Amino acid sequence: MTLLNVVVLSGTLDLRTMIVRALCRQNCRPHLAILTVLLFGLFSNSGFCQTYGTATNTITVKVQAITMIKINTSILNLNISGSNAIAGQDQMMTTDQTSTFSWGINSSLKKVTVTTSLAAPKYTLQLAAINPTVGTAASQVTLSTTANDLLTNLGRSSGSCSLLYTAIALASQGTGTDSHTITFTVATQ
Amino acid sequence: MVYLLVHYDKGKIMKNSIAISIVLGCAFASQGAYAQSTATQSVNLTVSTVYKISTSGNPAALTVTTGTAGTDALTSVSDNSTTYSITQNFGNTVKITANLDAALQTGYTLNINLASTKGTSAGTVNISNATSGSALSVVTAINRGADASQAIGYTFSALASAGMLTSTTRTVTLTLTN
Amino acid sequence: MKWILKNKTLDIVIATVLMGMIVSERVCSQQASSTQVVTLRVMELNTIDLIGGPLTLQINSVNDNAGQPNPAIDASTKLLWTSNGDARKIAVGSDLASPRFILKIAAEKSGSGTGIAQPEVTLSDNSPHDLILGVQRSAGSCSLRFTALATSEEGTGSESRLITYTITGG
Repeated sequence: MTLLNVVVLSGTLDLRTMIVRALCRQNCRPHLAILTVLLFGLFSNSGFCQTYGTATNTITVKVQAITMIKINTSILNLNISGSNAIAGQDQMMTTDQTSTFSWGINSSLKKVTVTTSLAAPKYTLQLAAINPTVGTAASQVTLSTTANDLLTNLGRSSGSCSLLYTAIALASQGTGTDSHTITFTVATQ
Repeated sequence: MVYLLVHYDKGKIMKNSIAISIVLGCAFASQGAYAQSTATQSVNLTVSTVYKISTSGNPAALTVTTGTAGTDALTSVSDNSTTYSITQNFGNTVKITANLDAALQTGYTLNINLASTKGTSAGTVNISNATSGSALSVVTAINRGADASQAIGYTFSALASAGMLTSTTRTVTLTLTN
Repeated sequence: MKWILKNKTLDIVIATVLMGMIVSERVCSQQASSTQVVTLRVMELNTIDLIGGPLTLQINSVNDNAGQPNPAIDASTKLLWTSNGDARKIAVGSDLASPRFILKIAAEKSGSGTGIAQPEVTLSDNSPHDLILGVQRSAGSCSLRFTALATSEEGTGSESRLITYTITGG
């Protein structure tokens, strides 16, 4: 049962007096009476012994659109070294699936897109959403400054998925470092 | 838990319109800070220096069995059944050296020849006396990248004057280095 | 203050060790190796060969003083051998058990290699005779001097024999 706490910010003296009178007979103790009213009178359907009057009001509930997304790791370091290489193969690769992406969306049919800040990376960095609890994971994308879908069909939901990063370098490209800032964006599908 | 804020207008008890705003604040409560419609993650990709070399196995036994009458040098034997593969991203000064774990006796000669498409092969190199401290270059000026399944040729020769040689082994070490 | 100074020394030592580890790690990572095991063997080998084709020794002159035919001599044939064994010898033999005419053979002017030429051998039967002794771990060569003899009493005729040269243990 949902506990409904009613906080009376202000009101007329008449209303309080009415409540007190409804409960008190003799030796009226307003504070106790009020507390009693607060604890029982307003929740009880049985009402008071004698009805002196009624009041009605109209309540309008408004819920705004809310979108929240979160990544559990703010900085991720990937390294390709000898352990990722096979003699005779130019391509070297490493993967990381330690990041978790989570969201909360209360409006219908959204998607999540990804971009990188690095316009001309030396190496290839790919991203895929793995096992989303809600929605559809898009195909693995090669990160670029152009937004690509990561997750689609996100309706009103809260969920999460793993982020699988795949880094690919060619031995013929030599050594170096690419620094990306990956931006995840919730957009209307 | 939903908190219902009721603003009660004085003087208007019976008929009053009360606007209530409900804020859903708890559904997504957590200890961390949440982004709104965007979130960012820094990803740093570092590619370190890589040297990789592998061989396809051991060559067949090299056995000298014939010679020419009147000639001390016996008929040499060869094996070209094995290959090597490399991957390196360091630079264009990388080379391959070869050495034995122990030198051969005088009168016996072991030559090696490595093919290469990424570098310059030194051709047939006599490694009979090349030990770990005196490895010889067999491929030089190897470009960055990979070279797969390149042939390794061994040639073993002996002099009659060196006598017979019972089956003996040598470990050949190929080293990719700069 | 003492503690601060000691701590500084320790920091320097630690930094030096770490730098050494970083440098050595860098050096170690600058190469990679792969190994192969090569099996080598040289079997015992003995090979012998002749330079010179079939030979005809013609007795066709007479010694005026003795009244006997002069011997026919030929030294154009060369014997070659290679052996990587120890204590070998070269023997020579004929296929004729009872030859009519005398044929002698000797190794002379050994070109190279080890070996000691034996005295001239008379091939009077079909048994092997030592031609060269002490052959070991070498390649050698020599000339073969053939001497054919006949007496007037033996008359005229032609006799062929197959001469065999063998490297054997010895």
